[in-house]
Amino acid sequence: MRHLGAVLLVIVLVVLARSLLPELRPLGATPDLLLVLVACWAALRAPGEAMLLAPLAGLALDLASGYPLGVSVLALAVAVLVTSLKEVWPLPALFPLALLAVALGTLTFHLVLLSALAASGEGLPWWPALWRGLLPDLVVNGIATPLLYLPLRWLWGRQPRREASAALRLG
Amino acid sequence: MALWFLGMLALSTLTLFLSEKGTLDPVRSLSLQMVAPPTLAVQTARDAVTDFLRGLFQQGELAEENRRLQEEVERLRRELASREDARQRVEELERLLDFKEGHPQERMVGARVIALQLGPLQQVMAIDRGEGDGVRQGMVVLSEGGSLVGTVYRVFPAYAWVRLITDAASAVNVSVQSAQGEVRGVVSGRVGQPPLLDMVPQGTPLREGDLVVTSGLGGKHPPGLLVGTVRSVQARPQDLFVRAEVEPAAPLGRLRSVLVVLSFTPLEMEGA
Repeated sequence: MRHLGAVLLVIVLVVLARSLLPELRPLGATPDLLLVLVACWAALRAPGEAMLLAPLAGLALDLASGYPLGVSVLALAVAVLVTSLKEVWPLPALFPLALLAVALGTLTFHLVLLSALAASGEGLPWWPALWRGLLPDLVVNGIATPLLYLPLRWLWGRQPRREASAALRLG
Repeated sequence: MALWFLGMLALSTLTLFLSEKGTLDPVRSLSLQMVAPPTLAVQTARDAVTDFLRGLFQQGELAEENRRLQEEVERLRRELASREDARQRVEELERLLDFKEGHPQERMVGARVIALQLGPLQQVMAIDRGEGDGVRQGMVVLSEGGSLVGTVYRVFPAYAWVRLITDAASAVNVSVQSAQGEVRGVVSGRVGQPPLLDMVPQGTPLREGDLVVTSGLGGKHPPGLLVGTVRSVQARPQDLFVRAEVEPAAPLGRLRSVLVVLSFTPLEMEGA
């Protein structure tokens, strides 16, 4: 049931990303809500769920976009990988981890996309692309992170963190 | 986790490779087919809500505007009735209002925008017309008002992706209607910035508001299509060319439907 909910949420966010969000462009960038969702999900829940969600969301997003297929998958995978730090080090708060995951996921997305475009003969100048493309995306995704993180944390409580802490203590 | 990440890396690399080869085009086409109905429904709902809210908050203004427009219509009707060429005038206005009817020599197909992507690295849109409707790669896409929107760069049987004129990989040969007459230049998309008019000879007195239209040079676009207007001119004596930002004439972020020009064959397509 929970997985079905996740799939529906992914579909809703993909539709929003391709219909409403392009018109809302604070700082000239569109928030990547799926990346933010996966990062928050991975930070707040057990890693297994995010590991299923990341490829699903990444492929869905790329399929409904003009990007080369696979760019978002890698970006989301990096975000999930970053959040796995919580299993290694006990963290006082999970929000900075979600924020770090969003930042590194955004960076990965831009680097992979720029490389893919260069490989397909449509290369863009890297410095302007990073300065004018990555920076606004980082800021906008950073602003969007608490907007998804807080409702998700409210929805789930902080049970996974306690579970993780317990697992660490047992370990 | 490390094994999973390696798996994701492999999946991403494989899909990137297959996507570049076009092997996954049927999957992409199918996904657009699935996304199109909910996207169009969301857009319709958004338009309805926007109209409702606008009506709610601007009721007084709308009533006043309505009254003013009614007066204007009445005055125009009186004027038209008093002229012998009233009928011709009405026809002219109708032609102005409907670009498609006004260009019977152009064969076009209307398409709805089903996905819009206005990221800094890529500015593209998906439309619900494809190979089955005669759409081919390189074809020119216009707004309903007849301004240049972009060119088709990927075609599926029932859908196509259009590269907007603001995309960083887009370049259009243009002519500018300046005070000194017509001058040639190139309008190129940029990363995270408005398109730039470049290659205009130094000394050309470009002014904000000058009209930019396609020149037809290069054979990728028919001549005379409105691209936009000049704004913020950068003319430094040490530069070889005058540059200026261009405000696209078509409302690219708010397009609901577009026209694909089927009758114009871009030069690079002729040999295909």
